[in-house]
Amino acid sequence: MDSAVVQRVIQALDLVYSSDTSAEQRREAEAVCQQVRNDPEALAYGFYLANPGNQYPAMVRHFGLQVVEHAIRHRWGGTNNGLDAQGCVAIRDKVLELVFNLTREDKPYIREKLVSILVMLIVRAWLSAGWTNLSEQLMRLYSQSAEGREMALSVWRTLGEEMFVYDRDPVVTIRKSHLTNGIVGALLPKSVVVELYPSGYRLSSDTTTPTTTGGGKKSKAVSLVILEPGNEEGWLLRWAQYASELTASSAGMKELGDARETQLVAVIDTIAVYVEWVPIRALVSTQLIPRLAAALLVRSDVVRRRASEALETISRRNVASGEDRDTVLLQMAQQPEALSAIAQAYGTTLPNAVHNFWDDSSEALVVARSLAMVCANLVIMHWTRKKLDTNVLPQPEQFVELLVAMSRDTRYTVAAPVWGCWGTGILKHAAVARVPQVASAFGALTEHATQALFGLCRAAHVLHQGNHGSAGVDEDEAAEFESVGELRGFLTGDVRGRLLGIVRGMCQIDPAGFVGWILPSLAPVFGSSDQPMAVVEAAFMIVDTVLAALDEFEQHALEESDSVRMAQVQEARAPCYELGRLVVQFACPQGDDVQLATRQLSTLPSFAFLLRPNSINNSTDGAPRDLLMAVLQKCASCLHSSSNDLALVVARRATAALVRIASTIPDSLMLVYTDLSQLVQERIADPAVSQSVKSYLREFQLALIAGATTCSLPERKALAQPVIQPMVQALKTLSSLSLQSPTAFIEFLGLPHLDQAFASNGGVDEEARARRGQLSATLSTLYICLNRTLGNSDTGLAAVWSDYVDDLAQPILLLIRCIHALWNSAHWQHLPWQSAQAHDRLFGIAADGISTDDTTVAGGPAAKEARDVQNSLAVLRGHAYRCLGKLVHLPELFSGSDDMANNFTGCLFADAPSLTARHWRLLLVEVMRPVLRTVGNWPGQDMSSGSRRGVDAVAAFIPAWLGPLFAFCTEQLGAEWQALAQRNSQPTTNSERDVGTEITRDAVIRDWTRAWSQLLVELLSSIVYWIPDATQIEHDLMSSARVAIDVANKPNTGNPALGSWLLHTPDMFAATLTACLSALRFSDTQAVNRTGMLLASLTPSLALIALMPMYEPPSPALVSTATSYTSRLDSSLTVSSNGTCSSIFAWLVSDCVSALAAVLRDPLLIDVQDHVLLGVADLVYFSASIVERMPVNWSFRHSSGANTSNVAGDPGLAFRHAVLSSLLASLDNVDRVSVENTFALIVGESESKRRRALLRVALQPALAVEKSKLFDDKTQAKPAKPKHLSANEHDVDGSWSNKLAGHNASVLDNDDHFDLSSLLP
Amino acid sequence: MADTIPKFKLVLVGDGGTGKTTFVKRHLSGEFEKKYIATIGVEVHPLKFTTNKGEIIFNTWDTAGQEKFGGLRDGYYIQGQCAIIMFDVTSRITYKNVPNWHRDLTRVCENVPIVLCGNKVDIKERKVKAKTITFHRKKNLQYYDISAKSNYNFEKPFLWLARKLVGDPNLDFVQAPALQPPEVQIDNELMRQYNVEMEAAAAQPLPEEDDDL
Repeated sequence: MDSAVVQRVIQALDLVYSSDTSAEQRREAEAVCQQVRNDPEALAYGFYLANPGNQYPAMVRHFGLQVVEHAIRHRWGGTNNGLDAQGCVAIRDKVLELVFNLTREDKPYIREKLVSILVMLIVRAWLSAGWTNLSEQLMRLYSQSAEGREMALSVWRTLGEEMFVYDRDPVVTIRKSHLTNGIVGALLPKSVVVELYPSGYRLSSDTTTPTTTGGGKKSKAVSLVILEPGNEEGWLLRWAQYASELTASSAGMKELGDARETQLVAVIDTIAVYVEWVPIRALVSTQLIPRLAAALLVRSDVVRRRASEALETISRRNVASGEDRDTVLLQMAQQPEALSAIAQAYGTTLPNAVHNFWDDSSEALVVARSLAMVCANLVIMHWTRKKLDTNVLPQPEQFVELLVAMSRDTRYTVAAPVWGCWGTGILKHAAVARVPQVASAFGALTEHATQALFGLCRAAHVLHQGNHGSAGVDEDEAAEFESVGELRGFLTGDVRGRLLGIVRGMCQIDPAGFVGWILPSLAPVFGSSDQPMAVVEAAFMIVDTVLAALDEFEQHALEESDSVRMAQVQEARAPCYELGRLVVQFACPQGDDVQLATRQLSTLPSFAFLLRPNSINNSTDGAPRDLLMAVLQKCASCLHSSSNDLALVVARRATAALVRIASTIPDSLMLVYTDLSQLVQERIADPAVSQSVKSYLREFQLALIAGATTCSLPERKALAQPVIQPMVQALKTLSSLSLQSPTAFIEFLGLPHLDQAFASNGGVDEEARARRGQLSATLSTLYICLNRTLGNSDTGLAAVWSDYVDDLAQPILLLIRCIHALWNSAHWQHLPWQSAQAHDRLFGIAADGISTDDTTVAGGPAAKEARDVQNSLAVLRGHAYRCLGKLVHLPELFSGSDDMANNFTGCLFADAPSLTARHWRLLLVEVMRPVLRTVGNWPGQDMSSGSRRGVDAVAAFIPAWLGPLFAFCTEQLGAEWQALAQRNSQPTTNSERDVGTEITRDAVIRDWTRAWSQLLVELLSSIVYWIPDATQIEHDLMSSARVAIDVANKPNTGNPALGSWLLHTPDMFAATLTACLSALRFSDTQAVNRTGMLLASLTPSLALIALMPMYEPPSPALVSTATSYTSRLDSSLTVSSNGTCSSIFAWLVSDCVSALAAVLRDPLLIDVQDHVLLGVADLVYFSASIVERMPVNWSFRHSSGANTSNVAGDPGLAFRHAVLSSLLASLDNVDRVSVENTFALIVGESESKRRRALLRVALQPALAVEKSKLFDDKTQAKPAKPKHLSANEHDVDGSWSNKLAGHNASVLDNDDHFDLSSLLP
Repeated sequence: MADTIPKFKLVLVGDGGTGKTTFVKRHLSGEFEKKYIATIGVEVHPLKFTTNKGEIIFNTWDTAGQEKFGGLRDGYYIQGQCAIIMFDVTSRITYKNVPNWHRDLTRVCENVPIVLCGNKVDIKERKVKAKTITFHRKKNLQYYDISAKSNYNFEKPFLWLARKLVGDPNLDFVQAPALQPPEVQIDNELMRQYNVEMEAAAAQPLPEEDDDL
């Protein structure tokens, strides 16, 4: 070791740590430090600098430790200056020596760094042959001194955090199960280990081969818990006892003292890391719960807080079954020791007691909240579990008492979780709600909940007015919120919901009783118009909640034919009708604020469930019918909108209420259809009612007709005809007059006049404006009606719409063609465009979706008119696309498929090159995706067999445009992304407008990219319909008795007809996959994530299917199963006549792997990395699936061939070899041997997470963590690697066969003493 | 005179590309950096603020977010008196890594005030929604949405830290820092929407883990 180097390092560190050092000096100093870190002698320097005996300053010692840490992280098991096993043991001993020599004077960061290094070593080497005595070593440290004890605790705490909290070191993932077994053995008392794992443990000194689960080919080495001799007590008990000692000796102290507080915090924090994870039995045997509860009473804010958090973590433990199912509940809510301590501790946090017990009242609030969460968790996760139909708490008095006390807490953040547990837990759990001690609390609870609700609404209103002080919210609580708005949002969101949950629960326990009880409280509120708004609003909320609860109650009663509950609902009807009358008659105060009016209209549809036909028909007093008519008339009375915007809001809400009612009780409305129809027609004829409201009224009419079960099809057609026909007629007229050519449409829009207006500063063409408005209104109405009655879930009027499909589709397609034509200058250049300004306003920058600024409007009447035209075009375009997207749900549209396909292609793509990004996004989302989802996939078809009619429709309709669409979007988007990258690499400008425009352009391209990826996903999903995930295929192949693969009722969003067609059309299949890979190049995380995830899950399945024909299945059943999979694809994709690999094989190992590798390299796609790593790892794993894990031996069908284009030897091996070559060709800095070794490990690794971790470790140097690569100086760029060879050109490395010959399982599976250090790169 | 101005070492950490350097350079002579140039090791910037109690300087240690360029990494945190952890609201992984940064930081700097900042809120394609940002509540940190590009909330983290360090909740900045003009106008409607989401998020119970990111 060179002492001059040491001196240079020390000087360099002085410079680095000074704030006054110049950037250049700092850079030089850091370079010196970096040099030492990379030195082959780095470890020697590191330990020398870190050694306290050399008396260097703490910062220098810290740097020494950093050097050691760096060496462990980067050189462990590596080939270049790598650490061997002996070296590892030596490092461990030196680190332990440093740990043992720590003193109280050492800086905390030195201690932390040592702990962190020791934990890194534990993660990598503990439980390997050279290190089996960790507990003994830490025990020595623990017993050595107070500092040693703190260090030992810190080591365990950090190890636990590395294992169970943080996700940074991939080695943890790889060794997780091994380390977990070690930690279980170290933490639990031996007696508990023996009880829990009677044959699943061994001593760390025992080196015999572990036992297995039994005979047979699939037997696997058992993962054993490892016990260390001398550690029979276990660390958990040791910590628990230590915590108890400290707590007991602190009893009665008024001040805890810093040292004791630090000790208690350290031990509780260490326990807390593990309580979420250790077996419940261990918690019981160590008496951890009462011991932690006792710590709640120690006179230290911080200790109480940590103890309460640990208890909260335990309360979240959810043991669904088994002996320990109720243990947490019984330990906390039944054991007097624990429950009393919790109750007592909670009592100290109450506002009137807080100052006697707490240094900081805000800490009291935090602990109170935590204890409330403990109780809420106990109720929801343990006491009232859904599957539990009994009460398991024999003596709940004290616990219920505590819950009631917490419900009365005036601090909203404390009471809210407990309110939640009453509403969603206790009141919904029949067995618990019947317990007398529980039921006796209901009265007080209801009273308090309703009062709290009124109080809360008042507080929210006060806060809304900005008056924080008089809202009555606890000061500490209010201080936790950043703003008054945030606090108000909290109150009106979660808190209010929980209180309403109590109302709902109480209503369902005793419907008639509760409505009868609440009615007198609400009557004065609705009966007067001068009540405070907050009170009225609270009353409406209660009514909504009560009605929703009763509706749900009745539904359940009907489903279960429960006559008792039906009778209870019946009994509640009369007071409910009375409630309805009160709500309808409530007169909103006049004024500008329409909040109460809209609130009232929102509540009215909630009464619908009381107004079903049988209620109306069976009623003797006519109350239901009266209420129904009163509700409808109330809604209708709100439809006059005049020109007031607020009135329009009310009118819109009224139509929404009508539609809701029509959807819920259409048959009841049919009983009064004559009156209703007249009511609606009057409004439609009323000029004071706005066009948009009239559209919604038509929606209401159609929703009613669609839902009415009492109508026959002819009746529906007759009723719908007056609503639909005017729209059809309007479009037909338009089509014949103005959509026959782009020129006619330009006239229709009034563009020539607009042009002249710009030139001469003249007035606008009012007639043209009216025409545009009329067309917009017609299309809007049509879309609203189609959307309501012709969707995926509701096809009630499909048969009616079918009559009009041609009349509607044709004009809409023509309209789309005409709109698109406007962006093509060829169509309007012959017009006398005198004003470039007019043109720019319409099709200039606005065409890219980037809105023009407000100065447009300020430019005079012509500019305003231009703006109006622009808006009209946007509306027309959007609605035309959407209407078409709805009409494709009708099979009749495709009845003359060839014509339709030509028409569709002709109209939509006539001016494709002129279209903007926004056009494409809308087209893809609103038209193409619905088409791909629905064509051939109509209701009533047999999906399992891939209906011929559906596939034929796809074949006739799709090919004309899908291929060109692939080519166009791939090319255009590629160019757009390239331009974006270029713009980003140019120097910045200071113009706000430029930057804003750039951001918008970026957003528009991203939107288009995402729409494109959604369309690709639609296609992939359709393929996935026929190709299940690889695990399922593997399972089917292993179940040799199974011969038929069932895909019926498969939960999948894809279109089976489309999928079937794609799989049997090799060109389109290849084009789809190629388009998907191309889409991965566009660096939009969301888009790539979506496509990448599906590809990553599909490709392993394709690999399995591609490899199947290359093996000889050993039994007829397996032949049948394999054939059923391979027959899903066109044979040319999977089979090669001359023994060469199939096209899917080649595609997977070359194109696909290269594209995925490119994603791994892209720093802008770092969020997608995990999915892609998993996909590649699975590709490797499943390529070995057939021969490695099948119950019988499969043989190679293709086993010879000297030609390099042939697959020689094991096809799976050849596949992996080709994958390896593709990866290496696509990624820099990756060590071939490391990746080869990793592939060998992945093949035997059954857990997907570990497969991913293994691959991550191997590819780490090439993964995109360095965004700066984007901006590297081109001259420094590495020379490009030669283009990778195609899969067919790879020769199989013979050494691969040798390495894997006879290999049945991974090293990890076979060797319980597996030492990772020997394998890690 | 300059020696009497209180100085505090502020450590700025977070994943690479989250905008730490851009944020710091917004102050005083800095300009909005459009290009991403990874910080190597650390860059120290003295940022001066004028408060109603006098001037204050944050010696801001802008550390490298990427491991490769980490230099002394946690060595830079030594003697840190306060910290800002930054993530990018358009990248989930940068938020997922916040606990790691926090742990590394608190191992070296015990009990120092820390602000968590979600940068780039000017971008509409926000991935880390307000309701998922709960880490600060678990660890008692202060959280701010910020946008280095638009200067949105630029001074908030410094003000909060200054109040904590001086121990005076009434401390205020009396002179706006000499910021570069904003490159984009923040979309007030977008900010309002985020604030509403934040309010709703505050009402949510804390998730057990953040695995759903």
